[in-house]
Amino acid sequence: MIRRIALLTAGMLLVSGLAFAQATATANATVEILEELAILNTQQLDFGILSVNADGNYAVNADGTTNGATVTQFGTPLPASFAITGTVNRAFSVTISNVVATLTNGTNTLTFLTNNNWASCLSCQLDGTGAATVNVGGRISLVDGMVGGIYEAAGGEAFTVTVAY
Amino acid sequence: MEAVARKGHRFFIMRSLVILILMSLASIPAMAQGNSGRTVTIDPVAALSFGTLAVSPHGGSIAINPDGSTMQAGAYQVGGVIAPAQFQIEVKNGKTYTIILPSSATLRSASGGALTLDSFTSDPNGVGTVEKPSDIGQLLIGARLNIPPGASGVYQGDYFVTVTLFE
Repeated sequence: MIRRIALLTAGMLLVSGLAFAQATATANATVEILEELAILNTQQLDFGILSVNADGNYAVNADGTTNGATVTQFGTPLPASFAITGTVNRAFSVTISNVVATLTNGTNTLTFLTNNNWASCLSCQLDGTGAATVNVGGRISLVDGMVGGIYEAAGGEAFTVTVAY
Repeated sequence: MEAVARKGHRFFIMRSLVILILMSLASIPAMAQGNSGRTVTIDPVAALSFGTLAVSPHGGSIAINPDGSTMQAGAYQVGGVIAPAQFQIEVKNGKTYTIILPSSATLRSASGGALTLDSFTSDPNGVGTVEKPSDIGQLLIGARLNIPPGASGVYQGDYFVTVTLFE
């Protein structure tokens, strides 16, 4: 019995002597996931209420100023405005569809134009609360004596604004 | 009397052998670290990094392969560095080692969110060798990161990699 145990012990010691060298490392993995970038149209692009005095283009800029054709303004022109939300202090890009669209009063039409040049910023940044505002202007072509009415884009959508990190 | 003494002597030998066996069993892990001068060490050189990602509202995933290539679904890089983990393997009196990767790991954010890492892969895969005379090799590890809808923030976590020298 003793001999068996001794042999067993010797065998186990021999096995342990051949034991494989082994090592384990603890390693780290990291990632930053940005909050979803969201955009909401909070104000339509509004050229106001105009009395056209001469042919020409009339523009509402992203900062709300106007220029172009000689008109008498009876309303309050406003650029389109978009509320952006995402990860605080992150930069994002703005792309405006290059649009030459037709606005109509149901019978008559006028031409509307906007593109990247009419944005308040193309390389923008979210603030410390993760919010930003992007304004977009545009231009319409007016003709002296054109038929009055409310001109708007078919379906109410004249252009597309895309934001991305 | 003699019989009693012999019995006591036998009991002493038995007890000694049992203790020896237990010591032998207990010593296996320790001896495995360097018995006969055979050792293997693994040291992290670069962390597994998924960079800064924007993710679809539906969630997504990104897998980094050991060669640094990626497979993305619903997630895309907007910054940072995407890179596999890198380890240095150093062997003494050996050449070939096996690699044990975790089946999964969890990355956590400060706010308590959790992301799962799985599908770990490595290069070399399964078995690696180190070349003489440096006795040093490189191990690259990739994995897939699964991102549920609405996840955001900085996530980090640990995982374990084991190498065993067998030749």
